[in-house]
Amino acid sequence: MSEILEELERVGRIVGDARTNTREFRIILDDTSYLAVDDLVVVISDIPGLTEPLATYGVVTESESTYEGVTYETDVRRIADSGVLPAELIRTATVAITRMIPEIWTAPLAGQIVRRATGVQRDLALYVDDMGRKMPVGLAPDGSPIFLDLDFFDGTKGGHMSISGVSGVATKTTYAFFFIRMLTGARHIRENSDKYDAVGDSLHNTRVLVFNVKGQDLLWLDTENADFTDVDEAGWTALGITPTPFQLVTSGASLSDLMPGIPTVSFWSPPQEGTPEDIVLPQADRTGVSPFYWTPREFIDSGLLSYVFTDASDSRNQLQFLLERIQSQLQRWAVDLADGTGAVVLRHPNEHEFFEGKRVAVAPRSGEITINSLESLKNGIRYFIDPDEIEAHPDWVGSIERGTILAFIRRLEAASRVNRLGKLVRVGSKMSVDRDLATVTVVDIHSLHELAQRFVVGALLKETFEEKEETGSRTPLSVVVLDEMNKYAPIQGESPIKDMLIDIAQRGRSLGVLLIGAQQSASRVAPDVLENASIRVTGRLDSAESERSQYGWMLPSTRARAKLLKPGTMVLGQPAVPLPVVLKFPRTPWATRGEERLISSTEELFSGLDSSLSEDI
Amino acid sequence: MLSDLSDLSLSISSWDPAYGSAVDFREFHESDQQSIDDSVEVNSRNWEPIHGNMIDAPPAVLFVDGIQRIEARLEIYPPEFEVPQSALWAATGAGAVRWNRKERKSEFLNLTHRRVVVLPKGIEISHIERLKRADVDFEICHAGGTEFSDLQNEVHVQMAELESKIVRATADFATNIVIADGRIRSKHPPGALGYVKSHERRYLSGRPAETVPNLEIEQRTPIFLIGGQYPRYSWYIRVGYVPGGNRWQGIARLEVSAELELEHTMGLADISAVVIPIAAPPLYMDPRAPQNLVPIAALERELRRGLGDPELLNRKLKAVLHEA
Repeated sequence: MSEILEELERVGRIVGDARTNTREFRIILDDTSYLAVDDLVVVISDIPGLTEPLATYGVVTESESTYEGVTYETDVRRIADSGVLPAELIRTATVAITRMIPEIWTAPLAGQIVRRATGVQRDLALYVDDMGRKMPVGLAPDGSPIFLDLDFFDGTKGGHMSISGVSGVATKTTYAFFFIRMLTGARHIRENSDKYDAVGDSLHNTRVLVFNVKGQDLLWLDTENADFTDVDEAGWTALGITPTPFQLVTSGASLSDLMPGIPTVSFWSPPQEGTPEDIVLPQADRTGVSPFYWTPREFIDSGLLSYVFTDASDSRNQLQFLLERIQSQLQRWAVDLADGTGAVVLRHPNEHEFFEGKRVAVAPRSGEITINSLESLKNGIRYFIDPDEIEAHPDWVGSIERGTILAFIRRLEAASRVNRLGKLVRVGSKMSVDRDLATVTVVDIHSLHELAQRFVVGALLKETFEEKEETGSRTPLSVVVLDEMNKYAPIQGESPIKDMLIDIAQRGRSLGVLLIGAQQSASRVAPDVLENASIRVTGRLDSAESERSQYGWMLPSTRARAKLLKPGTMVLGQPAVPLPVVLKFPRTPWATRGEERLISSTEELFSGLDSSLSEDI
Repeated sequence: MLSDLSDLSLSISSWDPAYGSAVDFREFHESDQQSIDDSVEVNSRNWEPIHGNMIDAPPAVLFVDGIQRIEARLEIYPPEFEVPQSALWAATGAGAVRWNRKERKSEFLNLTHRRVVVLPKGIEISHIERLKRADVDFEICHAGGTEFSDLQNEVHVQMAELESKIVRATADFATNIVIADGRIRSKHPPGALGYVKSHERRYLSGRPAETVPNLEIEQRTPIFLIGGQYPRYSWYIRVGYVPGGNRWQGIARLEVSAELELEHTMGLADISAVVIPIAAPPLYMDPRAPQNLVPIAALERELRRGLGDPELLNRKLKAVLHEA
């Protein structure tokens, strides 16, 4: 081993004035060398009694400099101004130990030569040799890849990822997509050692569900990034991926033109009110976005009523009890209308007719309320639980007090307004989000009311999770990227979405449903969700936030540094490596904001201008 | 169990070696019959402070100093002796600091350390054979007499020799002003300045003596000649002020071999009056401020550091002498 190390750059020696221990040591640097924070080093010590040399690996956590021979602070003037005081300028570095080979936990010896760990030694320092399946997830300062043990993301040994950081500068969502691109980008199998391995054969079936909550930022994944540079390209090449935007796939379009090996994306947005259902966005320049909504039939069958009542204050017992009762009655009573648009009527189960085991679709009778929207569903339910002039139907309300019933109706009424959930439930040909269409499914909910956002997230999470529960197979993987995790799984309060997220966090690992949760403050996310995330990533943290126990996996020096991280720099914590690693990731080849889009022709450049002119005229 | 009587023939005295450090050394006792000529540059009746200048100053100043430390007192008491004889185990060090005023940078040069065992006159080397087991390099020398002060004096001679050697090795008088700490000695090359901090001895009287306390920074007294076995030119300068102290505080005296031409000496004196105060420390920095110059203090600190831990050496010696 010593012979191999001879080739590595010598940077200094372990200092002799302080004790080394098994956690850290300090280095006095040679006059011609430097070490920066995050650099990796290796030291060989001949420990008395050990038959083989002990290799100690570490990461630089601090870099220091001082004059030796200085007694008073003003001495620096006599050293640097007049030069009358002889002193030696020294530079030192503090190193946190990451690994010992062999695993004999003994302090490295004072005075030993410290070398920069590069190549194979660098991989040893970061436990890359121990990783079951390594996947590049970022770049070290020297431009070489930093690896993640995929076994700890895809559920083999651990699952889920949690990304924290200040909004705007922490680049949480961008990193999540970078990670997804890495995850879905390589198609090498486990045994092929000279290529990076990703999710093996199940890769092309991996499905990612993402919610776009801010502007239209995620709706440009298929568009080239105008700011993408050669430096970024080199970064991607080092990571083993050809940088390309995702390929757009639209509902019903031919798949034959798609390039192999490049992940695909589909965009979904709720229909605009008062427009034909296929026009989903006010912007004319974003085409290829498919509308989505639920028909009353789907709404009832999937039990989505729970996700209308997602406010933490809705979890009071009586209301919840009534809700569950109504939900089961809806499923028993609802009969399809014969027009096939997904509209239903509520009719007593005794009157249902069956043909070959299926309910026979009917025509509405006079007096029956046709349920073709959330508004009419509310009216339908009200007919049974709070009718005018007659008694409420006992099957629907049981012995529930009228106050609770009125509260229920009030909430349902508020939710069914058009600017809330109204436009998400309507009749028409089946227009639900098709998560099998593309690798990445982006569901745009940014224009929706918060209540509606929660409804969509809850409904799609439920759909995803139940689908995997039914198949019982871990592969293909189903990844869900959820920003603002603190909103969906807050540390306090109860809601059906929170319950489901905790369920996914706990059981999703074995079912192949993996969460990539992002939040500004991990301290505001339910611990059950957070603690189940094997992979932790942070961008820049708020000063107060960085001191919280949720970031205990970081070193004190890393925490201090997390307050200063620049966009594109993240701290990665993974079970396979016992220390946090700071990494950079290259700019994405796709636009992460509308402003980053590469405008290819002058025509497009002025298209926005034309429309504004015409408005003026 | 005592294995062998000869084991007792060499031992460490329990006497604290630090005791002897403040002793005055005979070699440097000046005879009282020194003749002073205070009119070599200016007639003593006309003495006035003279303004120094650096017009002809070379770019660098070289400070040379030596240190000594007595590590242990050994007792040699073989059966044939009537009374035990003392020997000293001592360490000396010497080195230089070159202060380049132009580049504003100081560096240590020729840091040298030696360990010596000083034997009384007439004692054979074979008596201290056991010391060689201590795995520490040392040289052996003999004192001029058998008294304890003879031994101490020899340690000082050893140090002075080492220091003179450093001056000869490093001093380039064309590019350096060379300043040795303490009095100038015959072994110093002519041209080296001796820097004397304390004023135990009175050289001047009358008007010349009144001129000294009136010196301001960058001024010097006229040159006077100290006669005797080794004649020297000398002058006073002010290196700093001591608030609340008397006017003699903050004064240093310089001397140089009288082999030098008077005119050349005047040039050196002018330079010294301006350059040396720059190297004087502020009062808080050093109890001996302002006279104890910063580079010399740093050099002494560095030399002392190089001598190693005295406790550790003492332990080593005890281990080889007292443990069978």
